[in-house]
Amino acid sequence: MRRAAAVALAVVAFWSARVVSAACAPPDLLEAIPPSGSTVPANAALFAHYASTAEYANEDVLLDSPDHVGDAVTVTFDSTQGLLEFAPAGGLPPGTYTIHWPSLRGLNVAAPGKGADVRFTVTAATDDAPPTFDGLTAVRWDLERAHNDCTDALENRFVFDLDLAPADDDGGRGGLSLVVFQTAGALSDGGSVPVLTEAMPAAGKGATVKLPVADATGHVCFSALARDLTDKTSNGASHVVCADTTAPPFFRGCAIAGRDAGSGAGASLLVLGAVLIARARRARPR
Amino acid sequence: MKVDAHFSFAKRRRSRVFGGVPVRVLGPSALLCWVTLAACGRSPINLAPPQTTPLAVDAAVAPDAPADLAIDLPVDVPVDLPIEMPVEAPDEPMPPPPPPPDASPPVEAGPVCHPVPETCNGVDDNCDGRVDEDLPAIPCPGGGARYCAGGHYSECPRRCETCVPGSERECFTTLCTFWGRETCASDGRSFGPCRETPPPDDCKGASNGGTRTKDLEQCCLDQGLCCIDEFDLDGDGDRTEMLGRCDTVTCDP
Repeated sequence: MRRAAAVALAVVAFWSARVVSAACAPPDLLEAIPPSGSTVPANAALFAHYASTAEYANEDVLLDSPDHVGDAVTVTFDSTQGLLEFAPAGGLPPGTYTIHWPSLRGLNVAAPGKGADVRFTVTAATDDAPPTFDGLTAVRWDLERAHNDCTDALENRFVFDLDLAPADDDGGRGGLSLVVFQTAGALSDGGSVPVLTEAMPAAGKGATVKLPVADATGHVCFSALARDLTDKTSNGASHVVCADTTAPPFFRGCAIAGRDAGSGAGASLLVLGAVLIARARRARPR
Repeated sequence: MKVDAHFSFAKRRRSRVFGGVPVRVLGPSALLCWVTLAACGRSPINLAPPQTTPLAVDAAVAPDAPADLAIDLPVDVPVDLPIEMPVEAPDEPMPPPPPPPDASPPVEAGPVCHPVPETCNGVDDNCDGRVDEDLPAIPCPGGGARYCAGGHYSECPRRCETCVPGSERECFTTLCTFWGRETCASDGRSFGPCRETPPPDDCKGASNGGTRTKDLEQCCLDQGLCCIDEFDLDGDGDRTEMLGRCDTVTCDP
């Protein structure tokens, strides 16, 4: 019996270790730009955004066209942004296609990540104008202290929620990428540093940047631009939004009524206090 | 250490001990004072940091100036135009000049914009009312491009900021084995804690004396490992960098 229990414990421990290991930075495809189901202009390139651990080792990228299925196409990989790009020379004829983004291997990771199949429709129109996007409109910040799958420890991160101006493009909003820069703060060191590249969030949604406390304590500023499928970019990155952060530890105070508390809450608290004081005096021996 | 608490006001004892810590208990009047302040939205204990600080600044407004200065300026002030500093009035009051005969109302001369080609500097160089517009991206050798953002061309994108997510490097603890390993966080922005591990067999002698010496780091390098430069073996003053075989750890290609 004891032996069986020991074996079971060993199996559980081994399995737990493997789960933690597998969850640490897998080289997954994070998003496809444009997403599946999009309509794209004839001169568009298509992108697959992988995790930063992903490495491209000439895996086949297959394209199903109206005429052929499973054609291997030529792609380029930008490891600095994790972008696998398919830019068809001369564009694609109008029609409906499916591109099969492959599973990639990763640095420091044994198992391959996830790929994706993306269906898209090519129109005869071309994308000729740069995107319209006035950048960021506001920033809010908070501190996150979350368990990290790789370090198996709690990691502190400042979380910056960024509000975005409306964005659009003649090639379709779904083909836009958002590039966010940190323009002030320890990380930027007087310049500007890209801190986030992702598909443009849906209209009305914001973007989130998480930075280590050491990189984002004090006066921190951000700006952003939009990039379309033809690599044209918007203006608007000259407009910056800033926040002044405070390094932890925080003490959020003992207030039981905020500044917005209504008069009813205040009165209730006063009555409660009076009753408690009266009871305390009655209980006190003379 | 004393801790003021607002609880247990009905107790007669004004001082109690919790876990070896003397706790001073305040009376009912203090509670009433506190409740009153709280009801008014002011807590006597309110050390909370500012939760959010939304603040928008246009880079056209003094791009290199401190932001607290920049935000005090109205946005529509054309500070990107050539600035003519007003001449301060002399200390002694001057008599006003007599009005010329048949003088028309004075016309205030505003700053004049002299158009020059637009560059990435947070200024409206070409006087079209827009800042840093239509500037081309600069391709980066390793992929990606540099963009004009916030009055500066950005750095080239990098695979990660600090380390490749999930990668490991050797570190040196302060006790016991004097050896450890730290793992890069999943976002590649920091390393986790240095967790103690047994040193490689060839490095056990480096800490036999029970002290931490640079021999530990040198042995780490000799083993072909990626090691934190805690003892500054390269003499550049940076004790947080990595030395050794760090191809799969560092973010640079």
